[in-house]
Amino acid sequence: MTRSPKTLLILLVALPLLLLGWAGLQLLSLEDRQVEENVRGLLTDRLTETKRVLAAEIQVKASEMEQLTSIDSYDVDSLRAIVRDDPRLFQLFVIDPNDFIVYPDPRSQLNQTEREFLLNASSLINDRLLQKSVLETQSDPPDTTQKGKTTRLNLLSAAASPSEIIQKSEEKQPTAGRWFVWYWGPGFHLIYWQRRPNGYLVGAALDRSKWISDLIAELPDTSEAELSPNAAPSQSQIVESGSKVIYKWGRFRPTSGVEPSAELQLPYPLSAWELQTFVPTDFVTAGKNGVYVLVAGLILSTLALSGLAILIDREYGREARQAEQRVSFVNQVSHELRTPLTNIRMYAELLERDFENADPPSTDSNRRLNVILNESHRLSRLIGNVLTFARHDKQSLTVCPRMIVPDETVVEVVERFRPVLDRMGIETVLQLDARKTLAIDADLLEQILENLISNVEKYACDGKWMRIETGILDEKVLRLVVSDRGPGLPERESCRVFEPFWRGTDEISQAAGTGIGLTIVRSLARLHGGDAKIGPASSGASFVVELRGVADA
Amino acid sequence: MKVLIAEDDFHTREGLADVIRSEGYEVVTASCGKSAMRMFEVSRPDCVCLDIMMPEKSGYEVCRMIRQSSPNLPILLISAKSEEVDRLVGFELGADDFISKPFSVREVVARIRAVTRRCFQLSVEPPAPFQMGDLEILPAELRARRNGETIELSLRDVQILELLFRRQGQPVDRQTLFRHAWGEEYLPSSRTLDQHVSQLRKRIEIDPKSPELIQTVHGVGYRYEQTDDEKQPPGRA
Repeated sequence: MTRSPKTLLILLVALPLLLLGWAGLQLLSLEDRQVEENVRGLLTDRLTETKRVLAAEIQVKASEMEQLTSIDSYDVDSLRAIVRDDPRLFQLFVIDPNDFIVYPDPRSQLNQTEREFLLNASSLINDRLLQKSVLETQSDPPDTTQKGKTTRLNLLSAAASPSEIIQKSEEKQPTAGRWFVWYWGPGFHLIYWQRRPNGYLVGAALDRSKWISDLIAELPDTSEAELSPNAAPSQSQIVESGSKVIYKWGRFRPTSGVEPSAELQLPYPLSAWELQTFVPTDFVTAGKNGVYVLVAGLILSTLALSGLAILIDREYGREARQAEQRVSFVNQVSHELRTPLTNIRMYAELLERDFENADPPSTDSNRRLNVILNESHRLSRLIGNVLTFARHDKQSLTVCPRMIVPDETVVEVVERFRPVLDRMGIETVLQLDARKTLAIDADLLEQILENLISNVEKYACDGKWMRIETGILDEKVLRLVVSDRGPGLPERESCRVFEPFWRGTDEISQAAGTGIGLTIVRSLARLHGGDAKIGPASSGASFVVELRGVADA
Repeated sequence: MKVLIAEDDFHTREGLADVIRSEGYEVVTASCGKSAMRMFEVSRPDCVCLDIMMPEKSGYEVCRMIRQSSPNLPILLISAKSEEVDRLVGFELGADDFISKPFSVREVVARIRAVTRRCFQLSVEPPAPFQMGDLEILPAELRARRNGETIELSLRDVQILELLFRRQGQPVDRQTLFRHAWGEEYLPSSRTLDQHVSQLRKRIEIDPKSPELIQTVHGVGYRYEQTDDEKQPPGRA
């Protein structure tokens, strides 16, 4: 087996596998992305639900505080009682319509929480301008009494105050609009306020631990969901100001520094808080198993395809070997046949010579001897054709041009056929016009002519006539035409006569022969830079052969 | 001239020997590569015909060994293998010519004659041409010429004509002629010589029925007599 079919087979195996692998990887990464998106979407949904719960709770708190701050008598003792009795409150405060703080009055005796409140929220309350603008513009209440006080708070000036003010203006809900966020101590505090119809502003600072624990109590219970086998272990957390963890829940413990799988900002007034969720990374990128499946699949396909390729290769190789064996067997036999043939021919020729010298030449013996000689010629032509055909099959035919006068070779061959032609009564007309020396392979020319003449002898002997023409075209092309008056060639089949083993119509195929004569004529002519064709003929057949030689300068 | 024929097939060997002998050469034969080498050393032939596929040593090997000692000796390879590569190997090893089986007797004869001509050309003293009647004999070319027409001759023909020419005017008896041209003492039958002469006459005589160059001397042998009008030109000069 030559190298190229092997390469072809390897390519046939490798290319689909490479394509398959590439497509598989593409598909896997697509699936990975989809899975990741799905997981993130799922996690974000979960966080959105948590956010909704927290927002609802804040709503509840707002309505509670609305109720709580609906106070129209500002007696210190009763206000203190309210603060003392309500665990949700850190402190109440009241500001009169002239923006003076009424409770807790800094000039009066203060209890501990009042003092702490004033200390931390003094800048909020004492600075009247700030207080007005911050509280009223920021909350933007639908209160008609507050006309003309809508100057927007300059965040920079607010930040310049001694206490740190961080407030977000986004996501204002109409009912929760009166929340205010104020920072002191451990973090931000929620302050709810409302302006009473009497012009007093009543505010309530919520107890931070209480409202945080209230919110946490509302968080959804995830432990049950996580018990189901398909669910991923996760951890969710509330983070304040980006880093400070307020609360976290869930089984999973992420390694520190890992980016959250999903995160969500909470709406005002909890906008300093962020919800985060962590799940194991391999849960988000679940395509790993897919890679193993893909690799396994590829290995299996490789094995299957390679096996197939090896099988084809072996089968092909065996066929090639068998064909080679056949050819070499034919070669061997043909060579072996040549030795006895040599002897038959040589001794017949020697005998012929003896007869020539015999004084009374015996006609019978001469005739018999001629049969032996002609048959041995025929046998050697046959063997020559078989060997040429085998060599042509192996592509080991070559041309060895010699300077010859083509007509001499033609006459020689015709003379060799003379006894046979005479016996069959075939009249031979020679129109020879190739007397110039040409560089042509004489053996090849002989073989071509022998095949053409024996063709006439086999198929067109009824015509009793044969013409051989030679000529030289363009100084270096030998043209040889052999015509007969036999049955001719059927129009349809005429292109097939040069195909090997073509035997023509039924009656013709009765004739002896191997069916490779004309094939060899064409192969040899082509090998010699020419061609063999069917020539025009009024009756019978005509074969035109051209051989390209080198003109003798 | 002596020709060594090495060929393992008995009939081919004997047939070839017959053909070459009938051309006027002395023939020694060998049936395998080894005996070919031995015969070559013993008999020192002027030309060697080697079959390629032989037992013991192949024709290629024998050819190579002979070439080492005798660079100019003509070597003819004979083989049933006739593919180009076989010929090329043969020529590579120093063979002068290649005959593929089955060969015709005429082909062998033509090639042997061609080799002989080359030998004569290579030899220090090629035999000189001589004139018999209107026929010019060119021994070194194994040819005769008359009025521009060329006649092919065998070595034996040349030898017969040469002896007759040397003893022109005198009858040469059959035994002498046979010894000279066949190189053998014993004359198997008178017909061998007579047949050969008759064949030769057919080719060189203008009218073989009444021969002028080779005349029969009944009971003795043959004679070449210079005709009067030819006596003058080259012989004396």
